Amino acid sequence: MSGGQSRIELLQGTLDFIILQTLRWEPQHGFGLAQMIRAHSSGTLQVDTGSLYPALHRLERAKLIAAKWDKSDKGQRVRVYTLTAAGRKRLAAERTKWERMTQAIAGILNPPLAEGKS
Amino acid sequence: MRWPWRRRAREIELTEEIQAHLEMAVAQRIERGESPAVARDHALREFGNTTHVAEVTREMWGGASWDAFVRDIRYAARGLRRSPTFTAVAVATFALGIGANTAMFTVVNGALLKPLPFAQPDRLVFLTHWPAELGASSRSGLSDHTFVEIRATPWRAFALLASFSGSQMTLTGTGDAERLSTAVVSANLTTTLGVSAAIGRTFTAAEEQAGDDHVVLLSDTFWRERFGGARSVLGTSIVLDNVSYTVIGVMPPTFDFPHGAALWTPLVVRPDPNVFAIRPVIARLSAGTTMEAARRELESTLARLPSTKDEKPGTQITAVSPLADLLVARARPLLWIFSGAVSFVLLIACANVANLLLIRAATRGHEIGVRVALGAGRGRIVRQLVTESALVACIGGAAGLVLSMWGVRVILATAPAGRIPRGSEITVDWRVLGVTFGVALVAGLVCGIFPALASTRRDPREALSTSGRTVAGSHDRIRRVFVIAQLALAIVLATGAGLLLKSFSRMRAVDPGFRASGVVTFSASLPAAAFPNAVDVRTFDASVVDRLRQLPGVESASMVNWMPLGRAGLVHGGLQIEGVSTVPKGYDVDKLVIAPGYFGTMGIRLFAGRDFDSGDNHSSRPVTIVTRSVARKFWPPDGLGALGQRLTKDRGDDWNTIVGIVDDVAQQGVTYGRDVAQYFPLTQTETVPFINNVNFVLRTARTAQELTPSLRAIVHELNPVVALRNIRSMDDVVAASMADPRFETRLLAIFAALALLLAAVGTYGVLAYDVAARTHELGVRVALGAVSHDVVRVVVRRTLALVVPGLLLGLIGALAVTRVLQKSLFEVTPTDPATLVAVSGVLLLVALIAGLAPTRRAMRVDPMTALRSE
Repeated sequence: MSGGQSRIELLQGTLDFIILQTLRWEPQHGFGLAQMIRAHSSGTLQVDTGSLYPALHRLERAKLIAAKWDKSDKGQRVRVYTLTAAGRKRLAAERTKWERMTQAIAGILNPPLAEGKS
Repeated sequence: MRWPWRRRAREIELTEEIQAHLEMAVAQRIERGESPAVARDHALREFGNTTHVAEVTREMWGGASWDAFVRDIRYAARGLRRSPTFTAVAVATFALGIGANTAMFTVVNGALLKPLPFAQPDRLVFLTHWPAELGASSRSGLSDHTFVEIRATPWRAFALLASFSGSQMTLTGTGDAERLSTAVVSANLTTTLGVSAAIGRTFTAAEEQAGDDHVVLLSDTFWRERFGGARSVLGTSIVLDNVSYTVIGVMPPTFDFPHGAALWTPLVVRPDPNVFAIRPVIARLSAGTTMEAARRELESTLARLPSTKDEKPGTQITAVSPLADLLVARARPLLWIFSGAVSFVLLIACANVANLLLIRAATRGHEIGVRVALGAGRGRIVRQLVTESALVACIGGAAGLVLSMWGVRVILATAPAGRIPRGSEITVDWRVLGVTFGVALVAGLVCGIFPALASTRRDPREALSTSGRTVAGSHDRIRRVFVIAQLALAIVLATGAGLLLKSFSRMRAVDPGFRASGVVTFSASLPAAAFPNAVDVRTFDASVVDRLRQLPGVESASMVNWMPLGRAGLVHGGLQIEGVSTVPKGYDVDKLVIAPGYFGTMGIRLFAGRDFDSGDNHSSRPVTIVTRSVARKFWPPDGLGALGQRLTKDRGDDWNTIVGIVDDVAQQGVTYGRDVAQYFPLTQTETVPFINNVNFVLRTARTAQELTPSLRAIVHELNPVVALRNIRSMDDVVAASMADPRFETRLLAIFAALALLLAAVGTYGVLAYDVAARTHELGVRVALGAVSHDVVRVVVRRTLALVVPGLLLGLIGALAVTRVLQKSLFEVTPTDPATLVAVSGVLLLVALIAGLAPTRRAMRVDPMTALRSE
């Protein structure tokens, strides 16, 4: 439906990883998460709400994140998600995997520049 | 599974969460300077479809949530209520298909699948040691001599060994003398089976000795009927076969072994060196013994026993088999054939409903398109559609269950006695319930999943742009495949039924050698204790015949010791002919004892010579009458040379002069052909067992029912200890001898009729839908000048396109499977061409009838209306 030409559609596993990663800094509600992901990727990653909320609820069901109701700084009642211990552990694992993969892909894309960190 | 109330709260929370997201987005946009209205608009657009987001998010909560399930059911119920015709047809179709299957399964479950009602029934076996030349299947057991010996042998494999045999006894002293089905059993039979008496005790080993054996165990039914269930019956005496027996116990209601026994008396085995009597022997395996180990031990032991050690190796069949086989082996193949047949009916029903659902989905394309457009996921819609078909199937299953209870009653009521074993155990139990609803669910899912997938595959835009009616072409091929499959299955069943029908009519056409109509018959048993000598028996038999002749409305009367088409006890034997040394070995004839007038009464033709008469008595020369085939065999060509010749048994020197030649009679059943036989006069018969179980025959215009009181009075007056049985017309005897094939034919015919009916409905459905969907096309054709028979041709061509492949496939299928009926067929081969042609004709007719209404509708298509409706 919506989606710009330069934006990248996220793979499911990737979105989970990004959510966990984003929640590492502070608890956040859905809207805030969408904003942060867009901001951190300089607008490249556009998170569709139809993917974000299912992902949040899925992660919650998997006990990687926990949710509770809270007031936003503007007084709005919001559902805030926090990373759990299990979520942290998973994030660390995913991170290692992710780094290994980006290295590998970088290696494939830039063969002469070996060991380059992107 | 999430609980409904928690689910509800989460729904509200989700709405609130989405709402909060929107609020924050709007607030942010207003901060950036957008007007509130524009901000709201943009925020909404950016967010996307809120219903869809909620929907896909909810799906993350767990698939089989109770709430979603309830919602699907409610939605399905609403959908079904909206289209009552579809619902009624689908439910009725499932009810018939599932009902027939449940009925059959109830019978199979009770007769074959339930464990026998004994302790550890899998440890119970029966033993066979039997000359191989006599055939393996029909009889099982050990000879009396062997039984006595193996009981005295120490065994590793068998913990207990017992025997039993069915019998009949006459009960007197309580009203009219009554002939009862009884059993004589080893004292330890009940212990072997692991059953004890409900009240009182079972037999002791001492009661197996002759003289101490006058004790009796009563069945629950007999006890309640005769003694009103009074415990005081213990210790009292009842008179059986003129001997007094003490009642020592009553068995529990579930104990019915051997089947139908009203009471049990101890078995006294007296091996007779001249008689090779075979009795069933059952055993309980020792713990840890396998059947194979038991068989090996039995084999090695038999090689040492006096009665069996001299047998040549390989001439005997030695086997240890599960007890269940002894009870149900005869019924098993038939029940499986019927289960197979009835499963065809269910398949046809499923194809019908699947077609209905496809048509329904096609007409609902619009509705489904709207739902997709509104954001329902495909999985969700598929789940809803499948829920709908499963709901239909479950309602159908429930209705089928009710139908099946009636069906089981009909099956058991029409089954000939003993054809279906363990009748009292055939009830609806948890297993039947489980299988019924399991079958219903699977049927619902199978029928539903395919149409659901097919109808949600289309792009919603397409569904919405057309008004939802002109999607006739979609799934057309699938529907036709279903109908072809139905027709093919129906053909297979109809061929089976056709073969049995033809075979049955062949049986009925057999001339048994006697004229059954106008003959009434009954049996009488003379207890040995009351009639010890042949002269007593002869006097009694002759007096009954005399009295019968004097009854008003009775033309003639006589007696015979073996009723043609009877069940058991026919005596065969060899013969020697004076002056002829060449009687082939194994040439046996039936040996029958009759009173004068038997041939006339039964309408058996006398070809030459004379009937027995009052001049033939114990002081005159011994006489005999032979059947025509015997006479022709030894005195060719016409057999007339037999008259005046003398015959005797294969051993012995009591020569009988042939005084008459009569027609051969089908003695053992119409399918066995007519027997060669030799008749002896009652007045010259000295062997008591030949003449103390006799049948009287009367030629009369009166019915058996009218005559019953007079017959009872005559016999009772002559001797009150004699019980009458089976007072019935000879036509009934003939019908009873064909009860098995009649039952099989009727049952398969019912299944075939169901199959044809469902296939016809299926064909009709597809053709009618075809015509409805092609109204436009037909309208154009009519507008362009097509006349009505062109329109008819279109529909007929469509019909034939279904019927011809269905017919061909069905005939191929029939050729492949009707072989299973081989054993039930008489004078008809399983691939009988005439039957195949007839069945094809019936199917064509059924299909054309199914096509009639759609064709008429097609002919009446008005081009104006048809074209305007677009």
